[in-house]
Amino acid sequence: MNRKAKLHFTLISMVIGFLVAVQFQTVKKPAERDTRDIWEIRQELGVQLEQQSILLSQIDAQEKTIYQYEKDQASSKKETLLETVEQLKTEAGMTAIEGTGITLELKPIAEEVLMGGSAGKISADLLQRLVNQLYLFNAQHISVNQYRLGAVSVIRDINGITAVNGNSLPALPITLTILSKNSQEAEKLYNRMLGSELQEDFFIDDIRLVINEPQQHLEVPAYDKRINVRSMIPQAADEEE
Amino acid sequence: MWLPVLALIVGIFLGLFTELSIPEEYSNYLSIAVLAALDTLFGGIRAYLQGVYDDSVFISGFFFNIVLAISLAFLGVHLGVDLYLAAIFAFGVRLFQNIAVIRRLLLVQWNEKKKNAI
Repeated sequence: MNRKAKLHFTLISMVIGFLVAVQFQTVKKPAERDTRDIWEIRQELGVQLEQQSILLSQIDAQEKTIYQYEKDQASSKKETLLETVEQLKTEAGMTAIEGTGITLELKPIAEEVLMGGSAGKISADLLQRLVNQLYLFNAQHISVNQYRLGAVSVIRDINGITAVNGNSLPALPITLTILSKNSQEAEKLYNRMLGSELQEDFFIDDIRLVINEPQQHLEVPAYDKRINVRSMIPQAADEEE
Repeated sequence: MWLPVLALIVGIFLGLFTELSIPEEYSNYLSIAVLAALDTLFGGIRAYLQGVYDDSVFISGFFFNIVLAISLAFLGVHLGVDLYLAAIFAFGVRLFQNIAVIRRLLLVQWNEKKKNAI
């Protein structure tokens, strides 16, 4: 084979290889088949839409903050900062909040008291379960016997005594105050609580869970302990710029 | 003979690594182009083995076959007739014929070599 023919064969082989590879990639593109049915896709869409609305509201809030910062840089910078701090404190549960919600009462079962049993105590596990369930039902702010539950609150057993934020809970009755976003949400929460299995769960522990109807003006106190943030360090002022 | 094979592998890798892909609608055309190119390649090999290889025929055949096949397919799409099947049929048959001829020629060569060695 002379040089020229060899070169031509080589070039054409390369072109063919390239074409085959491109064709291969075009054909194998949908490598994973989508086997979800329409309801699964709808569900996925719902989740994504929810996510989107959350993101949009977050963007909105951030844009408002930026606007505040920009509006009057000199005079209101401090004000905006204070506002942000206040907002963060609210989010972290460090301020008292008033709003609509429901109250729950945990009482010993009357028959048990009549039979001479002592007024029972609630176990940490059960209280945790209740609180988790409440958050699952879109509860916004919760206080247990005036102890506010924040982002770093703990409910645990200390030597057989159930403690919230390190404060031991007294014997029953105990009152929980739960705030919702609005009165509609409070109504929803109330109905969901009525429908849940929690009452049976408490009954096994000889505790009666009384779910009171939604009220317009309830108050949860502020989280009264210091929040220790270990993984964040304040930035030095000169590093900011 | 190893150079074209190496070039083929290089071409395949090039195509895979550039991650180039064409729209789904055009994959028909590309498959026909690949077929036409393969036909030309095997035709070229056969011509070379038969001793009638000509550079200009080979190169012009490569481009002309591809263009003809693609325009036939294009025409078929617009007429509503699957004309690309004609191209696939023609190239397919020729491909088999060419490969058969190449196989015979190589066998003959190999047999002669063996006879000479004895």
